[in-house]
Amino acid sequence: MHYRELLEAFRELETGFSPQEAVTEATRCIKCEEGPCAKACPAGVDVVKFIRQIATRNLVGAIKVIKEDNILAGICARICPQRMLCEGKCSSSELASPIKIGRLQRFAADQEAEKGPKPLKSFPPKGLQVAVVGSGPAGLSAATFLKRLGYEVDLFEAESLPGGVLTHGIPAYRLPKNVVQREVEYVRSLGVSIFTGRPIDAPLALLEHYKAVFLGAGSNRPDQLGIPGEDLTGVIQALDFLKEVNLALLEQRDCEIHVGDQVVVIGGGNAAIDGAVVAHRLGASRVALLYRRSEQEMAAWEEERQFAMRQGVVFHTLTQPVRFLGDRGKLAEVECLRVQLGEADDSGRRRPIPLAGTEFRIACDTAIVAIGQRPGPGLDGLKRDRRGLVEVDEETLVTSVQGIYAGGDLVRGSDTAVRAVGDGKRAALAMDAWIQGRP
Amino acid sequence: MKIGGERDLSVDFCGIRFKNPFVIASAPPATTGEMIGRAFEAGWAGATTKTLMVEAESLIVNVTPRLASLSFPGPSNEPKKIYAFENIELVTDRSFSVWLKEIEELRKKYPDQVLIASIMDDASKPDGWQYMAKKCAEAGAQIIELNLSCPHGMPELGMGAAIGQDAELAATVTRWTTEAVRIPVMPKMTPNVTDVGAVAKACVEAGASAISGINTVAAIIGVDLETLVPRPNVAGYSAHGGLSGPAVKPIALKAVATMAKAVKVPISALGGISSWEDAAEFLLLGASTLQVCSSVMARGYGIIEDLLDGLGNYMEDKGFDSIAEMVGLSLEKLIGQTELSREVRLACNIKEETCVKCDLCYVSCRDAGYQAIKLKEDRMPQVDREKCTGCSLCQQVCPVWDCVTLTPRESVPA
Repeated sequence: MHYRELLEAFRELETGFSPQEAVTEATRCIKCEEGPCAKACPAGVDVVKFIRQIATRNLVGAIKVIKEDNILAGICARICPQRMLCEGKCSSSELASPIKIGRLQRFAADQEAEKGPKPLKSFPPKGLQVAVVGSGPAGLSAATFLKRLGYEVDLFEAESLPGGVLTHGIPAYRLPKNVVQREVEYVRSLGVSIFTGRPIDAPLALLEHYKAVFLGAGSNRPDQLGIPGEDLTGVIQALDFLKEVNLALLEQRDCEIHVGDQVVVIGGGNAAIDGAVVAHRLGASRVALLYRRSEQEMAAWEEERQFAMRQGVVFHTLTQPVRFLGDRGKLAEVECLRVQLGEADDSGRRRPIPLAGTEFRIACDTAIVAIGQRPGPGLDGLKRDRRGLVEVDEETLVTSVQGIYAGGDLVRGSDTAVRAVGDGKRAALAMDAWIQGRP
Repeated sequence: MKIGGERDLSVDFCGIRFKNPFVIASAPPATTGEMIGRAFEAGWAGATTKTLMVEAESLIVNVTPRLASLSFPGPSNEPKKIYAFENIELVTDRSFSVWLKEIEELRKKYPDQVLIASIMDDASKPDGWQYMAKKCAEAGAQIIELNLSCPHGMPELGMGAAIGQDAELAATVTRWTTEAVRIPVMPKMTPNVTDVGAVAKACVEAGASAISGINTVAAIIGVDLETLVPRPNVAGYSAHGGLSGPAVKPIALKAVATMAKAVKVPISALGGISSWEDAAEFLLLGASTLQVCSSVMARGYGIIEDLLDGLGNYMEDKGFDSIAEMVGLSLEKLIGQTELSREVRLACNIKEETCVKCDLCYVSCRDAGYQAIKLKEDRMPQVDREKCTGCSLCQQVCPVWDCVTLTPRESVPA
């Protein structure tokens, strides 16, 4: 797709509040002293306080309050599942409908973008160095807190652009790339040194130079289906697919991937939903999402599923792909089996049992695989669980190696950006306490 | 979480340092020493005790209920918003000796916060005023506030507003008190007078070091149409009370500006302060410290956080380095109505892009203006700038922000 069409197809969908809408919505808030909304925020943002400030037109105060705990204010405002977090606990729900907290936060962040960034206060430099690996939400948050606590922070990113999943994974219609760039630049402006194109293969070795290390490199190695035909041209991993579209937008160039007319997406998480909607936006006229359990077991959020359906994505649940069939090395069809659900497995979800003799085929030009992901290599010496996730102390987020901390999807597998932000904050505070020799 | 230091909002008031201008007013939020202590912990720079009286424990008996409020009910899906309280509560009903002990303890525990003792008696003799002022000063109170302004219950006994409504009596009581103590004496003004400036001036001439005001506005908040009893209903009857909260702010702003022009001493303003914007307005019209009651009654001591943050951000934005720099800056822009310009002629101008075609501007101009707005076929209002006299009624009633502007009459709107 040409760059210009791409720009049009990936324009942000949600519009922001006008000042009048924002103040009116903020005024509608009951303003509980101890807001259940704030308690539900994984990043610990003082939600009631910033809403009170918008209501009293203290917009500088509002953005400062948000960024005090969540440096990625504009990003999380757009991609947080607020209905499952702050808005889900809002006391106004009982009266009418929850306060639109996400949009209020976005308003505060957009106002700052319009009027110029406001500096955050920091403690005086301590002259001690720490390292952060990975520049996704966990890494950016940890780096910010460590910098503000007075440390010299070196942030290492394997890719050529910072931002991790925010830059490469999330589609631009949900999260415009200039918002990501703006907030990454803000972190840089605080004095965090960001080194891109610097994969870290041996994080433990960093302890030779740094007082402590935070690992936040995420889970970005996609799981394979392990079925015949996966190597055909036209079968692509969702992460690679989303990354190419995002890079085309960022590099202001045409998108190299041509999805064709018929696309199947395999998986039931948010990445699968994103893959399906993006394929649709790239011009596919028929997008089918194949999932081996029922809709109830999908990891994708309700709102995301509804959104994809409205966009025209057709859900085929209880459907398991068994092989891809090609024509001269190029994907042509996917063969599936119908599935029945059995007893719950150890993930707590009902186990899919393929039914013999129910084979059927779906014609497709592209198949996008999104069945899960796990951490990449370079974690030797750290205790990990059987999925490869790094094990940490629940409170301090310290790993099995003293001085090395970890958070975000590297620990959680696949979770929200705001939880990663919260992890970065908690880990930074724990690292500071440990370095300073406090209990 | 909060990383980094805080902004300096301190202010000098009669030689006493307040770490910020915000003070709990003499009212229900200052009912006990324990409560004042919590207010200090929350960040308030000072507090004025609920008004003390000798033998209060035997003389003062409160009625129930003693509060009523006015609120915007709003649509059914919105919480109500209180814009005024009326109270018929009396001064403290706690004994003077207990209060003295609490003042002493508060001063010991909070040496950086300022404690103001509010006192009351009748104007028949100096003894009560002088005794209470001396005892409070001995206990550690740093300022004596004279309650010459309570509008209900006490005037009937020759106290409160019964004194403050008479410049001579107010001056007499002020003189008695200033003779008894060395610490600053600050009479509290009632708005229920013809000229609050004249009363303030008489008090300053009698030795007052500062003036505070306003106390509540005499009011009847409403009548229950079912029972026909005015609110609040106390066993089938009611009495007029004192109105406070955002609704009285404009009255208080006028009174503070009048006092600031009449006297040279520092002014402690109160009357409807609920946001940092209110605070800034009172400072700009001449107040140095700001007392708050009603919004604490509605939201608790925690509102101090927003007051400080909002005021600090405003000062940073405007380039004010200290509170003192702001005090009274707007007074010079307040002149007599007859002195205002007749040269500048403005006419209204409606932004078509933001207009919601509701017709409010049209109706108000038709029936209370100059018939300068017509509605086009699609309900879009059209202004006849020749007929428009620039009264701004349309701008006031327009439900959309910044949709109606006033521009010089000769120019054609862009």
